[in-house]
Amino acid sequence: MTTNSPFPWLATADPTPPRTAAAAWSPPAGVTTEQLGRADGWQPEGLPPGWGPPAPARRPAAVDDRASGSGAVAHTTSAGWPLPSGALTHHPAADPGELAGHGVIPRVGGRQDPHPADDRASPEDQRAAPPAEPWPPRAPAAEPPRDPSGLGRPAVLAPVLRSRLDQVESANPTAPWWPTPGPEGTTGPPAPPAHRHPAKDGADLAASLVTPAAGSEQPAAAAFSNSGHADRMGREHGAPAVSKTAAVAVATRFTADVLSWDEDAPEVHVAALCAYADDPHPTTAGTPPPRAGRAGVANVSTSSSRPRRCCAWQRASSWCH
Amino acid sequence: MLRLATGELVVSLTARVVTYFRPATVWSDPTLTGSGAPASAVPRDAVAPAAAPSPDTPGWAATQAYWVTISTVVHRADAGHLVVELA
Repeated sequence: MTTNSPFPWLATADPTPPRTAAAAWSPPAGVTTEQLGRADGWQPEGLPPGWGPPAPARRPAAVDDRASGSGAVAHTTSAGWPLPSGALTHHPAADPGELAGHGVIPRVGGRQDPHPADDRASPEDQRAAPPAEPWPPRAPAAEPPRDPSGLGRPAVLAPVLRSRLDQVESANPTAPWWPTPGPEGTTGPPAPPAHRHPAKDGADLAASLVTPAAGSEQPAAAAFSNSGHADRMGREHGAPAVSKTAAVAVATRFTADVLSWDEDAPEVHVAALCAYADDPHPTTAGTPPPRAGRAGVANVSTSSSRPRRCCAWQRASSWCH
Repeated sequence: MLRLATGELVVSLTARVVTYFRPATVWSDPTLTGSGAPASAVPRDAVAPAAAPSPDTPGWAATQAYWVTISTVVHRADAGHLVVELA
């Protein structure tokens, strides 16, 4: 008997050895074909690890008709070597589809079971004919996601939570909105308002309101619970509120500049600090006047007739005069 | 962090401050003695502690660090940018 099989010892008429535990292994439910090991592509001279030469057997081929996976799939155990855990059924070269010899595929009720088309371990091109019975088609979308690590277990992806504006608005039409803080130094109009999660921000803001503002008769908590964003928008100043992230960024840079100095050029240090309280890109006509009640900030006139705001400690320096 | 009713945020930051100084009693500093002139001894007290070691002259050492908490009031100006309230 001649064969072109890469496993020449399979083409013998010797009876098959007793089946091993590896041959009786069944995949867990939900394991896809790609996650299972394959015998395809193995070189004939290079046996996989754990594979041994065919051991002489003393009994004919046995059929394992136990259920496996989601359907009742009969497994042949006629291979002359311990099957790897991934080879569930047969190898193309080892299982010619004959009822005798190696690679026996049983027939149950006139149906070859397992049908070649139902072989989960076979490659796609091995499916020559559709299944005899109307098996439920495999829905690609319903298949479990494959594990990118290749460990063989189905990967379970966490649900992706996407924030949709329409859902937020429908859930809470009175959800407060906050303007998105624009990049620092921009003089253009503020960015369009961005919706924020009402529940999260509500708790966050409520937690942040600890004490009332100095000089304000209305407590901060009462201002927050007033259900109007005008209070949080700074109605007194006519300016929108500040996001925490942007405020921390500015405060961090300001703190770093406060704690840094240049003994050779103290005026640079003062000017750098005062820049945090000034418009980074002021215009002559559009510079707003300083707000009343702000201690330590004064207007001075420079040679360019542009009002410049100096700090309290800056007035003592020559730069501010 | 505290958000005031006026829309301002009070950010309290704790920073680690390291001051650098010149440990040597006297040293030759060409930046103080002038270029071309012979190096002369510069007393240690002539140079104040600095926030960062000098990149030009060696001999700077860090003193013991300390922590400083600075509370900064940040609000949004009418033009849209963030400003720091300076007292």
